[in-house]
Amino acid sequence: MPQATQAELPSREAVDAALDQVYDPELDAPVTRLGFIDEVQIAGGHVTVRYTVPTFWCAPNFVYLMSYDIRSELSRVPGVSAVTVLVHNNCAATEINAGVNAGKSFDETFPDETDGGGLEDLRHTFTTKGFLARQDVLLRRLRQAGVRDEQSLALRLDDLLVLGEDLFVPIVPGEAPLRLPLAAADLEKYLHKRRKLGLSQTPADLLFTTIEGQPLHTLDLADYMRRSRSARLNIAFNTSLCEGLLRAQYRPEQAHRQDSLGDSLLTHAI
Amino acid sequence: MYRTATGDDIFVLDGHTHLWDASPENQVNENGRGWIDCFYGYHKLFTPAERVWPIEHYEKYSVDDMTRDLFVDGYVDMCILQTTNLYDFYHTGFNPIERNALLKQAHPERVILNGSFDPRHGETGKLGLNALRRAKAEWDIQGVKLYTAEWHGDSKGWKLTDPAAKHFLAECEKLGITNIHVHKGPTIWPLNKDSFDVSDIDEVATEFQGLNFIVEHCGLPRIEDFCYIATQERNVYAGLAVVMPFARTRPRFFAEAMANLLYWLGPDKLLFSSDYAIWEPKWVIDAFMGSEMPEDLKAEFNVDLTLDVKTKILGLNAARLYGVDVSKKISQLRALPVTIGQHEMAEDRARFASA
Repeated sequence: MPQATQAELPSREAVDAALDQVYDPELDAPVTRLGFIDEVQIAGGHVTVRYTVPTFWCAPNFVYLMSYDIRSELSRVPGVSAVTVLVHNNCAATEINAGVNAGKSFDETFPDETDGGGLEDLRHTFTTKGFLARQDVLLRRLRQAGVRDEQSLALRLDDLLVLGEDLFVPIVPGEAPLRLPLAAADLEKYLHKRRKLGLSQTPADLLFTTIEGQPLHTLDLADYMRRSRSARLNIAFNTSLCEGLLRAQYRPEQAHRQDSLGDSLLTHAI
Repeated sequence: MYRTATGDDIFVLDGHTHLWDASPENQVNENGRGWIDCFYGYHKLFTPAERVWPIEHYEKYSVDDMTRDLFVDGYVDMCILQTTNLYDFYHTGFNPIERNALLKQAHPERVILNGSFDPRHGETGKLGLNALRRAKAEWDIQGVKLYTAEWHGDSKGWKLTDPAAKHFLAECEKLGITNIHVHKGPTIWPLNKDSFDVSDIDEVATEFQGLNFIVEHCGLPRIEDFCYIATQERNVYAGLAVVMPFARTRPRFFAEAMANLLYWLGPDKLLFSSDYAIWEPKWVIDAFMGSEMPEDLKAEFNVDLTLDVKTKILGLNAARLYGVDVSKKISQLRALPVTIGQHEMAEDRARFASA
């Protein structure tokens, strides 16, 4: 086996960037920003990640997904030859740590406790919730900026322009587009969910559709948006609760904090 | 009673309370430790710093402690004691009906004692059909509290739609046990599906029209799925544990949750619960009574948190479900000072006398 040279060893920056791609599927936020990661050790090409979930009773399927995704993302980092992921504070930690690090699927990790269908349906359910939440944020930001709903619903993917952190939306032909400050991230988060759902991404596609790709102007928009808003509330509420539970038990230096990643999801487009 | 700044007295019926024993001596294994540590995390997260209990007290508190925290300091006129059995985690259970009965015996007019069942216990098990019938005969229970994620031997939980569970629900209907409190927890078979799924409530609520289903902590962490189910079913209610403590530290989150619940379920189907001893009712009620609905939510959902709505939530809704005649009950309790141990509480007597 050839000796790894210095250049081939994984950098801390590359490892951290890979971890930023791992989301808590239920909270729709990166595990790094949720504060779950306890320790990252890089020894040659072997990366070990230790992390803590907020409660002992966090659903094992979500915990498995996070451990699995950490392993997958890190395995793709140049120079990484082995990955060990160890979760702490969960009723199924022993099984998950053994299963994920041995490269076993969820059904293999819990042989008598699943129906054999894997976790893709579960992922899809929560991608859908995240899609509705992110779409609602974007729609309401357009509304706040003075764009009428029928104008928003007619927008196509290639109508929008991103410049730095701002979003530009053409409203009246021949006039300067409307500027939405700091809304580029909202668009990106929404498009990310569209991609995860496998929705068509050609430039002429409508920006706003249902999860099935149906145009929203055919629906009762007030009812649809009330439901999307409930999905947003649920994610934000659980995010605040989970961050708080983690801090109260395992991050005493942060136990006084009341802020949450859920804050912006709940309040920045009302 | 809670007295408002303008002198209105509000009847308080706390819909979800416990008298538990999670002391190390009672823990069977690390799951018993993990259970109470998780509860303690919830306690510390929301409780004002000066009201946080030491863990030793949190693990096991007395009938007198509970009497003081609810009926003396906590505005609570009546409480419903819910069971959480957990025999696989605690030798004598966490708070089974036998332990809860101690508070009922001390304050029979202030306590509604609920029972439980577990469809995996069959006829003769500790939480089986015979035990349910005995609880009806002995305590005339009108409600049960079910925890669908309870571990039992190799089983990690059950669903309300399991044939055995429906058999128990039919028996409840027959016995006149009409209030089914459901605590949805994680880890239900199959483990690869969403373990907090609330859709089983939909089916049984339709099928058992003579029963009321009170879903504790509003189906959280699936409040939006719960709302859509509840809006379709006449007999589905929400217990407000977990949501209410947000009123103190995260008022916007609280208001947004209440706007959804008021919109989808309406003000007659929401029940105050402190989830004592997870939280003390005093500060929860203070925060709730001080809460307001922001204008943008009023406009979008067409709902409000008026005194009338708060009064329903704090007591009238639960009183209706349990057949409590509120004005009669208030007169009765005024003549019945709260006692702690054998000692009458002088200040409480004075409070009732002045009321």
